[in-house]
Amino acid sequence: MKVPQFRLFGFRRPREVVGSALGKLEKTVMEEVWRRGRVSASDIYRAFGERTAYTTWMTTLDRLFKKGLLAREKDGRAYVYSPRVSREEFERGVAEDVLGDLLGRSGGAEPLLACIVDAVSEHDRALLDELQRLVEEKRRELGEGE
Amino acid sequence: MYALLCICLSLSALLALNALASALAGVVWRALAPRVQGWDARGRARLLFALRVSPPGAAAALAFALIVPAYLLYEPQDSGEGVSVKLLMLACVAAAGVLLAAWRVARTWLATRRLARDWLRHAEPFAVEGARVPAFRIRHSFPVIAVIGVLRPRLFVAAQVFEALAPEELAAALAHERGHVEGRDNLKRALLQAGEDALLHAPLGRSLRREWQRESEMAADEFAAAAGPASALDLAAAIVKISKLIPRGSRPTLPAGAHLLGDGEDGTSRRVRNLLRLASQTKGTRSHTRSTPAAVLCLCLLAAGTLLLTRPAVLKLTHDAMEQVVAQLR
Repeated sequence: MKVPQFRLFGFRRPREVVGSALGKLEKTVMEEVWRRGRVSASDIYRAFGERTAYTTWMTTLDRLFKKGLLAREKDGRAYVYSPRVSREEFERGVAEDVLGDLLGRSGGAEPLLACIVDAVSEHDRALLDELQRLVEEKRRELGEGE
Repeated sequence: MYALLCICLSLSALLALNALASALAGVVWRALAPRVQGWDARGRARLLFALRVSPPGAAAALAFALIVPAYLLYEPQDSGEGVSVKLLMLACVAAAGVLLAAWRVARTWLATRRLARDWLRHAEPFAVEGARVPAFRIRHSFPVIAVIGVLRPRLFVAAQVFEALAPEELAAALAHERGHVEGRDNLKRALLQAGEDALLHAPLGRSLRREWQRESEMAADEFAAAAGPASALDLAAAIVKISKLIPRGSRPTLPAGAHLLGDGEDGTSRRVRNLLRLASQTKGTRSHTRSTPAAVLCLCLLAAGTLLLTRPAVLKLTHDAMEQVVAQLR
């Protein structure tokens, strides 16, 4: 008997969540990297024809490298990419993230504490030296005024 | 069946009123936000807190002080009215929200107690001038300066913070934490979280909690900076130094939940710039806290509630409305 598939409004099945963690091109590339083991941008370009520009494949590979899903090394002038995680690890990781988020939001208990600085965004981190300079400047300014 | 119908109606009313009032509170804040820009952070934080906790508070008051008496007074015991499936489902959702909120409050209390106990095991007490809470020095990889707990708050400071900050910067940072204690921010955070849980995390009024988190942190900064321009600058310097101590990509090993201040695009930067602005102001020109709106709002709710409960006509009207709702939900 066929199991009826249904979904609640606003909710997705786990398989769909895993699938949507990557874009369409990213998914295509990851499938190919998992299948071949090592690929370059031109390998991908050749494998999927000329429907998509070479530079788009290069960008997609670079994005996957930045997401930590691919490792890369120089081979002559080009990069050769290999998977950093297996398909199973990836699917498990996404599922854990989704579950963790769900449990974290609905049942996770966090200690009640007020911390002066809990985390620093990369944006803030880049500005820290500049902020320190501004504080010193203001200190000098107030010191001169007295 | 008589009692079950009463319970289902009260719970459904609680859910519906809370959802409606929370959505309304979000709209009210959007309308008020530009007008309260000139207030100090403490005033804005108080207003946000009142707006976020009023909906569940008012919903609970109306459900249990209006719906229940109206039902008991005007519903005949032998009416033979049953509970429809729709009403039962609504009541179940409301009950799930109440249970989730209660469960989270209990777990949060336990997690806080466990953490405090864990830190106290290796902590050394130290004296802080003017502090009303006990202070402890701990060894931690994260540059912790935190107040833990609601009923018996304790201040914890990581050893590396003592080494990194100048004495006046440390004093300003401790004054910031004293601002959290004076504002009872941990208790408020627990209440705000419970309010969100009661609505099963429906996105109604959630932005108010995020805004409150930011404003309460700014309010603690302003509390510390109230001592004078030098204190504002010392705190700004302390925030920058502590931020630099945070290992890249890390958060406290204990999820600090609500006060993820640097989480936004400009968390630290916004605070430091605000402190620099405060340092430029002389004491006399600073804006004063306006606690009036929150107090006025609470008083209005209380007065309205008393007025409603003392008029039997209102209870009769409420009962008629309940009958309509029950008929619609059949």
